[in-house]
Amino acid sequence: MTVTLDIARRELSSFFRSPIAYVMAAAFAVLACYFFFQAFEPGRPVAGLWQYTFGHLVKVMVFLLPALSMRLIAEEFRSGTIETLMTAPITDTQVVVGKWLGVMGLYVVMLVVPLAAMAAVVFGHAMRDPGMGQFWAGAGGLLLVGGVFMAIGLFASALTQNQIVAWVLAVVMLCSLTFVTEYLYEARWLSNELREVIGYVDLTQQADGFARGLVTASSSLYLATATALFLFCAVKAVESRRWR
Amino acid sequence: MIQLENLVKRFGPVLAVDRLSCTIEAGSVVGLVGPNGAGKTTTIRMLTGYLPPTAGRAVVAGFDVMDQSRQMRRRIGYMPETTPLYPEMRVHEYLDFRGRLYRLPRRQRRERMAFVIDRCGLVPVQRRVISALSRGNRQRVGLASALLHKPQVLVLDEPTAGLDPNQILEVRHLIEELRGRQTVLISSHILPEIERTVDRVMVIGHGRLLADDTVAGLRAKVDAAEEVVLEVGTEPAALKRLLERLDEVAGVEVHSRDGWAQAVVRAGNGVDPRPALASAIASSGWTLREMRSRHATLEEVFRRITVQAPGIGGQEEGKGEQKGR
Repeated sequence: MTVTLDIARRELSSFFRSPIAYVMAAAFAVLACYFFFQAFEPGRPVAGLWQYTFGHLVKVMVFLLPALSMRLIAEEFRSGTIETLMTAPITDTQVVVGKWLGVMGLYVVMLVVPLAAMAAVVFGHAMRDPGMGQFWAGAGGLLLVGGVFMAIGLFASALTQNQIVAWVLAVVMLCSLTFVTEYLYEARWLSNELREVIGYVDLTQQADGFARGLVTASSSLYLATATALFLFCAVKAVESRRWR
Repeated sequence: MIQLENLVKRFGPVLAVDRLSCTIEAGSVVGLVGPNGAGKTTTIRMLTGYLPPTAGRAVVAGFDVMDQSRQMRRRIGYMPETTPLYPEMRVHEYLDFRGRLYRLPRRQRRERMAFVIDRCGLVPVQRRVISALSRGNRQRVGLASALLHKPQVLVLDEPTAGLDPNQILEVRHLIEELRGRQTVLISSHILPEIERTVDRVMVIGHGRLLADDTVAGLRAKVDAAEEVVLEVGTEPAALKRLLERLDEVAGVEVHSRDGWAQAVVRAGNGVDPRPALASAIASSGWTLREMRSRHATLEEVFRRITVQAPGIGGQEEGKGEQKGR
């Protein structure tokens, strides 16, 4: 575990030494506030506010988050540092999980700034029902969905040594779990049972459930399982690239 | 300390390493030499546990590289070719990170870091960002990180590539200091760069072990390959006929050179052919313009060994030779 955390720490600190972390955090904060103020009306109850804000954020994340995860493993293979890493007495799983934790650390930092600002605005207007329960549930949902996004990004990054290719692969995979499922969920030519399954798989609907204040075991379990699955795929991808 | 048994690595249809077997004793310094593409890096990657062998077995420091990989990796220090490092980290941060990967406790980590920073001459640059370092300093960082966890076996893949002669000398001194304490395996495609450092040289070409000898043994082959160059005022064909009749001559090549016949004579079984050559030419009445002996360098012997490998196409030979220089 300590080695995993050491890898996470190195990864996180390397983010803060490149402009990408700052650019992404700024873009994320600006977009988050933009969605927030589109829905926010002083004095009104907050019913749909968090749902609207977080719902739009998830869609933006499909394009933004892969830009953070794309270099994680691709860069190691490109520069050859993977060789020094893999000949140290550590396992592939420690490397993959460490990198995932590192990028999640950055993601949490990115989330905290705009979310704190939003909460401050809502409190500042001293509204009767600030909907903080939904806020916390929604934030937790964003965190869990982001975990899946990062695991998919990490898997994509393990498949290639080109960061741009890794970004495209991740966006394609994420689109199929968000925009494509969203479209299919509305499709009338599919049976109701199938549409129900698709709705469950859809990551935007999962995030939406949290933003409505519905924290269910099945949702949490689904997101955690998806994260674990893609991390497992990333480990296998790293392994197979060495074995070839 | 290192034991390879019929090691084979196949990349699809390409046979990169072909039944390589050897034993390297503890404390020795061994050079792995061969032209580019000979299979040096692949061999090294297999014995450091990075690549699994297709067939065969490798045992390093008493542990099988596949079955007991983690124990083995703890005991081996490896500096890959081109010394990959994280450019955004500072030197001391990088070494600290490496120490953590090997789970050195804090105090030991501090001690070992101070030791390798001092030993590898990194004191003035230890707080610098790696991307700002020169090629030579990066090499030192790579070497320092390979030595950090006190490995029993040190494997250096092309440690002198891209360094200037002074830096090559520094690397040599560093390895000299490790002699006897650690088993060292150094690969290079340039034999003279490591010939003074190593006790033993393994020459590989096209994935096969072509020669495994001490430096002195290779030298003996060099001395046996002494040649004499003659320039005589006559027809090349006539000179060739005369020289081929002599017992002392094992082989001869004659060319025409601005009106003179130039012969390159290989002596047979260690006899000095010069007296016989001189008297033969004098008695035939030709003018002798030049006679000098030419020592083949280790490099030439190396090239002869790697180029003569059986079953290799002519074109590839030329390529290997060119790159090997």
